Amino acid sequence: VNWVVWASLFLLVVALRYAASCVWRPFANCVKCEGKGRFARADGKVWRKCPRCKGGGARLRVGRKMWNYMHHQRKAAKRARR
Amino acid sequence: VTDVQQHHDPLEAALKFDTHFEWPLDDEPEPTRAPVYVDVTVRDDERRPIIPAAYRRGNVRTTVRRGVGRNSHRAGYHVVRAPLYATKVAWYSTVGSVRILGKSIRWWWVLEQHQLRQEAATSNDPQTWMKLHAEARDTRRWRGIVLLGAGVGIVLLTAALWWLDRWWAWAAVGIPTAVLLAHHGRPIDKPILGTAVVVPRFRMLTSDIVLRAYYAAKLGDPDKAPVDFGGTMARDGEGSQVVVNLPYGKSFGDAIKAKAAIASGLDVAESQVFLTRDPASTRSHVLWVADRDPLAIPAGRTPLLRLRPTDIWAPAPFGLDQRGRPVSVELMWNSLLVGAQPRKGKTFAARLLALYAALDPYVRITIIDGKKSPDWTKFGLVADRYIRGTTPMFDSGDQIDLLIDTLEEIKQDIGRRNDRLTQLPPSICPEGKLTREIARNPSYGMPVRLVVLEEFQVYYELPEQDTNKQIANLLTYLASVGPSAGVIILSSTQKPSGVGSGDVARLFTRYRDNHQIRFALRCGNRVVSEAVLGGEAYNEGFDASGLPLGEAYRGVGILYGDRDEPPTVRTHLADGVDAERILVAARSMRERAGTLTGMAAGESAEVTRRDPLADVRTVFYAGEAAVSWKQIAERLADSLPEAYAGTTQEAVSATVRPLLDEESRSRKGLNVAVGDQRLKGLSRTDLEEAIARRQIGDGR
Repeated sequence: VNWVVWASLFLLVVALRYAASCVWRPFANCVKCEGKGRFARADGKVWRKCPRCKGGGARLRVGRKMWNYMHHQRKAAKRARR
Repeated sequence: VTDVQQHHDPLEAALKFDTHFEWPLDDEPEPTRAPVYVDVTVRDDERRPIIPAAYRRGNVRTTVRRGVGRNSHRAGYHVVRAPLYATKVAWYSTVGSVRILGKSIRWWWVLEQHQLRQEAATSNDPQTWMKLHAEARDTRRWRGIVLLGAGVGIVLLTAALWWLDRWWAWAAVGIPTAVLLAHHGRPIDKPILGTAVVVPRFRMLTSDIVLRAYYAAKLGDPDKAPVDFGGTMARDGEGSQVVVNLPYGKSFGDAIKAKAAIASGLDVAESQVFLTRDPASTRSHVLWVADRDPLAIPAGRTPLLRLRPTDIWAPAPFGLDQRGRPVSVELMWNSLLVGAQPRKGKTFAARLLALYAALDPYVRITIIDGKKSPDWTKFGLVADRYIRGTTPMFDSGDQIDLLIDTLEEIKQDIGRRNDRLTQLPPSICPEGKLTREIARNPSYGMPVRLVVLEEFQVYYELPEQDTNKQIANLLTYLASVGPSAGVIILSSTQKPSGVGSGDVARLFTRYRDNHQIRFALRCGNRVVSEAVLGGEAYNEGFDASGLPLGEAYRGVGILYGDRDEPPTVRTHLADGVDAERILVAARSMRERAGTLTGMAAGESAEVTRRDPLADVRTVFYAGEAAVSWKQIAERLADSLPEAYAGTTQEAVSATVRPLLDEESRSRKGLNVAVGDQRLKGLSRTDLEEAIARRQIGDGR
């Protein structure tokens, strides 16, 4: 039983930490380009933009994306009611 | 026309032409005079006093005393509550330090920008977010340095205090800090210090509010017919005053009709709004708005309670008007009508004035109380005559007979006075009118009289119409002639119209309308108010049915007729106990002045109704079958002089004949045999028949 408590506490802490990062650092590095925003040749003379992040090097965290989705749904519902 | 031009002497011309329009009577105006423009008005500029009135020589002492008193009250109030304040400060400063800590952390973390960053994240805009984030990071750095400095400062200050270790040093730093923290910690609606002195505050009346009110009342239009002001808004008493100019074509009457709407537009009670006619123009009037409802503040006890002798020739203090100014009523040469619904202070108002007259020992008072109320009972101490109600009283007999007798006596007194006053030399009586000296000199026997008629309508509604008519005639005579002969009339009624029928109703109205001064307390409707105040009063905006209703407004009424601006008066109070004190004092004053007369002096005023038949019977000597009228008159005058002094045979015959029966009356000339003559007279059989018939007939 003891390990179940510890495990759930650990999971809670992890979840809270993730939620906090969704608020304070909603953007993480792009998975494809790892935050660089571009792909370059070894000598660095020729490069192209990362197609995924369009050169920004950042992506929204999944949690934040979910939150945003819900946020927009809520807003739309409100507007429709009005 | 040529004729006119030849005659330059006006007198001669006037003799020649007997109508005025043929000849100019006035001089031609001088043409050289400079024109005067009507619009130009010169106003004196207002000069503010160099030293305010409060700091002038006579006032400094009072000003200082007031200031000291006020502030020592404040100090005492707060000193007593000091422990409470200390507890409050301790608690609130704890709350305050937590709050300030939170505030500084939020400041350090640039939380004012937080919302923007979240917006950027919500709209998936990494570039904006990055920019904001970089900016926030820089800001956080320098704000952190500032906070660190502050923290170090606090630590250093604490260390210094610790090192110094003096209580005053701790206090000097700690108390202001605690107060500051408590100020931040307290709820915004709960000040730490209580309020020792509450200063009354009123909404300031501004010209915008006044304009709003007048436009809302449809007395003007901001574009087409603007309302403007004849001066600046000023304080006057406990209220604000301004002269309002209505648009051309609107009159004072329109403003009076719209008074309720104006009050609503000013957002005050209607009783707080007072409109006064401006004599210069019907377009403009003075608007006075009281700070608070002025009529709900009682006027206090009557100054008569000082029990000083008064003077009927001076105005009687009556109450306070809506602006708190004293109102007095000139009783001399006047008659006053008080009218209202029952239980509105009618009797108290009338009694207040009667008490004033009672305290002048040279006024002879007659009380005629139609409703037989206990309010007037104590006037028995001073009243020359006191008539109670309409039914016979055990101590003063039939009240109606007494009333008629009293009114007849007053009527004769008025006639006698007018005769004597015209005979007096001009050095004593310059205008042929009563003067204060004559009235107060007992050798003339012409004191000022006060006749109080409480609920006088009762005497117009007696069962016998003849009696009503007789009383109505006497009262009408009294009201029309009395005041100028020094007989003051003070009537009060709760039913000022619709009394009596036929001639009596007409006489009632005439009596009512003969009063110069009217005082109307709250009336049931406009018609009653008009009956009391007179028809023109309503058109001028005075309606006693519009007076406020309620316990606080007892004794509030409109005084109309003796001045240009009829005030709404809160009358002074004199309750039953006060009245008794005043009347006891008045009696002793009268005793000292030797002016106590009539019933108050213990005279029985019972009117013995003579029985003419019985009286005549007493002058028939034994064995006489008949006596002539002439002899009856002589014998009556001889034996009953108090009733028949100076009577004549015609008078006796006129009194007795209607009492005889039909048959004896019809006998020609009532000729009887007296001795061997046939004379006009009365026979014993006729007389005894009449007496017997009367005893059988109506049992008297």
